[in-house]
Amino acid sequence: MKITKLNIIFSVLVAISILAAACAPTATPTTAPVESTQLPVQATEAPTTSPATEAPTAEAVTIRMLVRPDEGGNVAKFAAQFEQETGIKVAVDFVAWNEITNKTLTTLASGGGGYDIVFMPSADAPKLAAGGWFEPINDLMPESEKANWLAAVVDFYTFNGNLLAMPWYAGGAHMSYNMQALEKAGVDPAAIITWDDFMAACKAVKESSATEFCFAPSAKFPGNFYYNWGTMVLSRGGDFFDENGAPIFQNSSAALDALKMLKDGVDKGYFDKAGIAMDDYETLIEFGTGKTAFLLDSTWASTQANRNADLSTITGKVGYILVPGAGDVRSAAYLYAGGLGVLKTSTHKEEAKKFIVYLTGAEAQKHHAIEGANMPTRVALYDDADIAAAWPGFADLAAQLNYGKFVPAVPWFDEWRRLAATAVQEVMSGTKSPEDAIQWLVTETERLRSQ
Amino acid sequence: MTMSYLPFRKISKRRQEELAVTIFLLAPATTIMAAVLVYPMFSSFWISLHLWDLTKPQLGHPFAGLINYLAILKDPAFWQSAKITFFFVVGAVSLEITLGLVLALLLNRDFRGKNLVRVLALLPWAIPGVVNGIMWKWIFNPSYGALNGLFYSLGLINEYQIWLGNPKIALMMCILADTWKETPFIMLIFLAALQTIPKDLYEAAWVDGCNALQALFRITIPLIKPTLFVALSLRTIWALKSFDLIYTLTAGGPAGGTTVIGYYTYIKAFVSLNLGRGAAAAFLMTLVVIIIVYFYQRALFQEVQE
Repeated sequence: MKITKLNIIFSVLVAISILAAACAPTATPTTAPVESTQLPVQATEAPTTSPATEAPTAEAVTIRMLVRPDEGGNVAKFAAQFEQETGIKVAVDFVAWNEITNKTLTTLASGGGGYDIVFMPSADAPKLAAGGWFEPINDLMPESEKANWLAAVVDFYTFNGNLLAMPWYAGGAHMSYNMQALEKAGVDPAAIITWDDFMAACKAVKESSATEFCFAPSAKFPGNFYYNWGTMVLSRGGDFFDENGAPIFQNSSAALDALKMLKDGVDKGYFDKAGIAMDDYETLIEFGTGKTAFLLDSTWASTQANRNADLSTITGKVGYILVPGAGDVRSAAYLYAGGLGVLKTSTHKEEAKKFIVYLTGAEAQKHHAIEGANMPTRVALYDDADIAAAWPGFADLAAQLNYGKFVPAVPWFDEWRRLAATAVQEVMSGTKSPEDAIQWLVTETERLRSQ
Repeated sequence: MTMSYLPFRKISKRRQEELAVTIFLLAPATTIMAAVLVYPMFSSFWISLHLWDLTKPQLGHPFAGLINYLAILKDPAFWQSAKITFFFVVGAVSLEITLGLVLALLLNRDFRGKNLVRVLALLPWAIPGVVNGIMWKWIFNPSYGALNGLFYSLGLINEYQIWLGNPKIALMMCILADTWKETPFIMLIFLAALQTIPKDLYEAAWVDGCNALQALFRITIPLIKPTLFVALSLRTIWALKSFDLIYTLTAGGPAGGTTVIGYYTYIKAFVSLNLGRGAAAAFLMTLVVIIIVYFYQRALFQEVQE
C-alpha cells in the first residue's frame, strides 16, 4: 500500500485525538445540593466561634471535603448556608460507609487528593492519626472551651496532645425492645439489669411466642464488634487488649461467657441463627418487622426502628434500656464518634477550619441530631428541649453514653474485627467450641501484631 | 556483501511502506494497552517486591525482595483460601461442564421453539456477576428467600433453612450460584461443537446396533474433545479468579468458609491496605493460573495432534 500524505495525516490525527481523550482533565466535584428542609426552631445556644457574621471573602475559595453519607441532609444544608454567609464554597464528596475507610486511606496515601477536610470515624482514627496526615487544630478548642464538649470524644480525637479532628457526632450500641412483644411475654424491661435477666426474658418471649425469636445477633463484620460480641464482652467487665495491644481477652471469663451465651441462645432457639450472616442493618430490618423482641444496634438504627416507617413496622412502640451488665458492671457499650479533620496538604487551612467549626456548631449539631439521629458532642444540647421533643427516647439513648467506651486504639483494629467476626460465626455455626474460638483468635491476634 | 551476511533480511520498499502504516495505525491502541495493561502489571509486580503498608506511611516503601511472597506462603489463611478455592473450582467446573453438555445435547435436537429456548437458556450468562450475587443472596434469604419457599411448599423441608449460615453449605450455595450463571456459556460452546458432527456417523452407528449412551461415549465426546478442553480450561481460569460472586453473596463468610483466593487477595490489598502483600497474593494466583493453563494447553495440543 502506498503511503500518501493523506494516510500520514489521518494516522497522526487519530493518535492525537486518542491521546487527548486520555489526558482530558477530570470532572470537578459538584457542590452538595441545597437542603430544602428548615429547622423548626432556632438554636438556643450561640456557637462559640462562628464565621456566620463575616462578610464574604473577596476571592472565591472552594474547599473540598470527603465524608460519609449525609444523614439527615445535614452536610448539604450547612454547606450551602456556610457558602451564603461567607462566600466560601464547599465541594463535598460523599462516600458509602463500606467504602469510606478504603477511599480515605488511599486518598491520603496518594497525597490528599486535593481535599481540605476529611471525615475521621472513630474506628479509623488511630490508623489515620498514625499516618501524620492531619493538621493539629488545638486552636479551635482552647482549654476554656473543652467543658462545653463531651470529654470522652475530645480525648479520643486527641493524639499526643494534639486535637486532630473536631468532634462532630457521637453514638454507641443500644439495647432496644419491642414494647408489644415484651408485654405479651409478661416481661418488665426495667427488670433486665444483667445478661442473665436478658436470657430469662428471652425464655419468656419464646414460651409465649411473642415473637419468632428473642434476638438476632449481628455476627457479620462490621456489626459484630460494636453491636454483638464486643459490647457483650465489655458489659461483662472484659477488655480485649492491654496498653501495648497484646490480647488479654483470654485471661478473663467475659469473652468466653459472651460466646457461650451466643451459642446457648442459638441452641435454645432464643437467638436467630441467621444472625451469623447478618450485619447490623439486617438485624434492624428483622427487628422492625417484629421478628425479634430485642435489638442491639447503633444509635442511628435504634432510632430508625422507632420512627422510620420505611424501615420499621413497630414505630412508636420501641423502648430503650441500658445494655445489660454482669457482676459489678451495671452496663457498658462501645461508643463511636465522627470527627472532621483538616489535612496538612490543604491549601485553604483557615477556610477549612472555619467550616468544620461551623459544621460542629450548636445549630448544625442540633439539626444533625433531629434529622440524622446522631448524638451531639456539645454538652448543652443534651438538655435541649427541641431535640428531646423531636427525638423520642433521646434521654434513654443518651444515658448509655455514660457507660460507654471507645474501641481499642490499635492500627490493625479493622482487620482484627474481621477475625473476631469469624470466631463468633464459627461458634454460632457449631464449627468451633467457644474455648477453641478464643484460642484461635489469640493466635491470629498475635500473628496480626507481628506483621 | 551478500544478503546472507546481513542480520536482517532486506525487505522491499513496498513492504516497508506497509509496515510503516501498520505501525502508525496500531500505535494508539498499543499505547493504550501498554498504559492500562502492561504498565499496571509491572507496577504491581514492583509493589509486590516492596513493603508497602498504607496504614504505616511513616515506614516508607523499602525494597523487600520476596519477603511478601514468603509471608503469604506462610499464612495459614492463604492455604485455607487455597483449599476452599480448590473445592469451589472442582465443584463448579464439574457441574458446569456436565450440565452444559447435557443442555447442549438437548438443544441440539430439532423441536418447535428451539431457537427461543436457546436464547432463554443464554440469559443467565448475560447477568453481571455482581447482580447474580445479589440475586442469589435474596434467593437464599433465610426469612424471605425463594429457595426456602419452594422447598417448603414442596414438602422437602419442615422449616426454613439458613443456607448461608454454615460454612460448608454456604460454599455449596456459591457453587450453585456460579453454575447457574456460567453453564449457558459452556452449553453454547458445546452446542457449536455438536453441530459440526456429521449426522451420518450416528446413522451408521445405529445401523450397527449402537444405543444412545454408546453413541455419546464413542462418537460425541471423542469428537468434541478439543472443545471440551477449551471449555474446561476457560472455566477453570475464570473460576480461579472468582471474586464478585463471593463478595456480594457471602463476603467470604461465614467463618471464612467461602474465602477464595480472589477474596483473600482483596482483603490483603484493600482492607488491610497492605499493598505489597496484596500484590504478592495476586501474582501467586496468577502463577497458579499460568501453570494450569500450561498443562491444559499441552493436553489440548496432544489431543489435536492425535
